Amino acid sequence: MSSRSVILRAVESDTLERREDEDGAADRILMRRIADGERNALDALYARHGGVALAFARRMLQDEHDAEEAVQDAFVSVWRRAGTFRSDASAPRTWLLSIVRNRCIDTLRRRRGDATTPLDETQPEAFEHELWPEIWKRQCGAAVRSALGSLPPEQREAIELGFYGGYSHSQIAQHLSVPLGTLKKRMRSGLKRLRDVLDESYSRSA
Amino acid sequence: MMEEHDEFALLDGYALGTLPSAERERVRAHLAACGSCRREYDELRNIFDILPHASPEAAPSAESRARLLARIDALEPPAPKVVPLRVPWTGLLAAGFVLAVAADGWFAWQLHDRNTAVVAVVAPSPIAAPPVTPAPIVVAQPTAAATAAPKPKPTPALTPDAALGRRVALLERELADQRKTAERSGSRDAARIRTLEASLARASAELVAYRQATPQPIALASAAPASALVAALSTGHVYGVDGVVGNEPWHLTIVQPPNGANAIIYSQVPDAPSGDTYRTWVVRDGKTFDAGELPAATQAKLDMPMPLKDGDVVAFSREPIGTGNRPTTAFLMQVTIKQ
Repeated sequence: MSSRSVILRAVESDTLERREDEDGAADRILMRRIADGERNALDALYARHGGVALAFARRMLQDEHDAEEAVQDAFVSVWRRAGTFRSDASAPRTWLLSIVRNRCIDTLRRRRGDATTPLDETQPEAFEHELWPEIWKRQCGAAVRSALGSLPPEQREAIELGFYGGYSHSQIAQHLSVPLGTLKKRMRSGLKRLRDVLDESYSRSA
Repeated sequence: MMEEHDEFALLDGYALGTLPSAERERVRAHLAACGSCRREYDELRNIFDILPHASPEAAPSAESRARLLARIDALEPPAPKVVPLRVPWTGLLAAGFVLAVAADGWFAWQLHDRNTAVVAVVAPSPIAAPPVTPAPIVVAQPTAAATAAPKPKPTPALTPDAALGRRVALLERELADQRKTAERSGSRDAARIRTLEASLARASAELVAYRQATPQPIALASAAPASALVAALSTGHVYGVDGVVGNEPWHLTIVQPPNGANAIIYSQVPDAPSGDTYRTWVVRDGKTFDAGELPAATQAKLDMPMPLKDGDVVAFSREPIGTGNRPTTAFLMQVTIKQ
């Protein structure tokens, strides 16, 4: 690699980091304003993240109407709970998407008549070991799809049922007719493999 | 081996939020005590954090947006913040600097690893019982700080000292981990290591540049060198204590490094009156320990003989030179350590 391309890459990377910081800072400011009861701030948050929230809900629920309801409910939760949001614990978008996922799981459980364990509604804690920069996460859709597609089918199925389906391990084991221990190993191996594949994608892009 | 922990097998269920509540609490408690499981859990959560992005982004309709706003309009305004003592530490730095001088008393703040500040408890000690009545002490509250100085503008996340310090510390740790992994497994992570090295160099340069460009807010914490603050910010604790003894300002920064190392006090205090010295004490479980003479200089350091624990009281008194290992005069000030 020539010294010129090294310099260019450093400049690009620096710009990405600045964008990431500005992006996160804008979200945190919006959260403070929402906590102060500013309706326009919630509107702005919706404009920024409503799209990813809706796409995620659609993938989980496979139904346009239900997905939209789940996203609306999630944003109403953000409005109600903004005062409890801890900017030191996680990024606003991470928190928002965890709420979207929980609302989607509520819907899935209602559909299934499944009244199992209450969901963990606590705000995700900050990463001590952040594997990938936030800005890359926002651009990595194709890499995630490709990484999921590269998994052996039984590992992919376990992860998709757990993450997008909101099933507990024992429910997945029952559904797939495998012992619980086998399911756990399958899930963990799949996640490790997913991490490695995503890491390679990130290294190529960095 | 981390796999020996029963909780290890539960980590992905915990990260997915689908564990029964009893197991969830068990894992939560275990994670607080087990670094290797916390690392594994963090890796899992990194993956779950990225999975929502697997679908191409959608475009919500204008009708959805209008419907959401209509729902909001029908609700009461959100509940106010429920944690009044937690305020951004940069705001406290800016406001507290004024307050410490203006109030002619004591102002204390605590930094911990989440880059937020909690006002440390500064109060007369119920246990040390020195022979003279302690000096009156003002307990600073964030609301008082807000009225004593102009309300700070919302600060972008990149610029504050603490955010940069935390970033440097995290990058250092990640780099060390990656190097260890690379040693074990060959050169798979060579590109990642180069990226981390470049990010660390940039973040460190930015931290230094920020501190050089903003002398006043940093003056409050300047008794401690940047490297000590950065190290403590990752997992340790930093307590800033500012006030006036007689008519002289005192600036102290108490640093409790991570991993149970002995605490350090960086001090900017004037010389004690002739024939006297300022002495540091730690009051723990009703017993008073001599923690050494507080050096009087513009940039001084006291290596304490012990790590500080939650509930400890760090106190200072003026003692005649050559007195024993018990305080003989009233405490000039004391800080209760909250971790």
